[in-house]
Amino acid sequence: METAVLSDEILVVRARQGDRNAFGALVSRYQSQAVSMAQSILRNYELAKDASQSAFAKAYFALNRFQGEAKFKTWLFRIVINEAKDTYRREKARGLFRFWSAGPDEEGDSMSVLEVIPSPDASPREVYESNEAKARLERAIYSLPDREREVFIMRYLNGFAIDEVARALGIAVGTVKAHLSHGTEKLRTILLIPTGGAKEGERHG
Amino acid sequence: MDKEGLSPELEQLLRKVRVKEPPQELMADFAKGVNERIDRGAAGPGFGFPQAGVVLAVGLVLAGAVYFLVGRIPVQPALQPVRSSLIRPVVADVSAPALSAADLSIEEEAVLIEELDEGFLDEVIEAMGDEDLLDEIDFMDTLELAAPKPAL
Repeated sequence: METAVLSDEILVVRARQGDRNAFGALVSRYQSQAVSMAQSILRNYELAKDASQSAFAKAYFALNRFQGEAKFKTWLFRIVINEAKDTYRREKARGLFRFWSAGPDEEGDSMSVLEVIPSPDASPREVYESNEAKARLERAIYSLPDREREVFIMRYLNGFAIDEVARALGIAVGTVKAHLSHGTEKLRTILLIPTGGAKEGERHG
Repeated sequence: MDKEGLSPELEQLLRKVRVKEPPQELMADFAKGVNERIDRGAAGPGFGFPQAGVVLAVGLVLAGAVYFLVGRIPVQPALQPVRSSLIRPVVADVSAPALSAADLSIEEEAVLIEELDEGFLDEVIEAMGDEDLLDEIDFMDTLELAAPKPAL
């Protein structure tokens, strides 16, 4: 209970000294986000979980190399992303990823990485439209090039600051901004393609 | 969240969605899996301690083999007989009064010089850097140039 309220910095110091409980607190704190991050790359929860667990273990053994120049979370997520990418390359080489290359078409399956934020007073029609919009957004995001997609998800869906995105991906801040600009432009183009005029009518009605 | 590059529609859409949380049942034993990996000491394919040990051992064996082979090449001993075979005839040529220019015809003298030159060529190349040997050769050249001409 005590470790749950300590800052990352203090937990890292204790974990370096061999306090496994302190490292366990860090695991508990970031495990869901780590799996979600890996899931956004792998589109498979089991693989995302496996990659995240390996990433945490690697982080444990590399704690002495963490200098504190970035937040622990940013440093950790860099390891998670690299581990997820390694897993992706490995599994792709085995030919296991061909089934999801077309994009998310099914609701609630392991391939979908986004969900609609529940709204208690939403009507069934609004829920349906939100789910449709979510599916279109997800398809659009996964049509982006890999790096633009990673940057977009980290920035706008995981809430990372631009410099944190840069550190986690090992790229310059300017490069992050460029990817964001290109990515959002492409999404605007994709998502604002009219689907029979219904969107324009509803927006103004 | 900064709004750079986001259109109002895109921003509105992003407000309605979030990244899915992994299923609770999937995460129940997550920490246990992490601890198992730490205890195993294997953090994935990149851990590499056994592999690093093998590489180091192989490298040491190869380095030792190269050192052994290079050390077996008899460079120093080969110099001794070369030096003695070179120096003795030179000394003999210089000190033996019988072997003077007057005792040899011009043709014989030329053959002798040519043989000595040929003999020296390989040894000189092998003994490059041997200062004493090169001094001997210079001395021999000096004597050859200073050899008294037979009176006509």
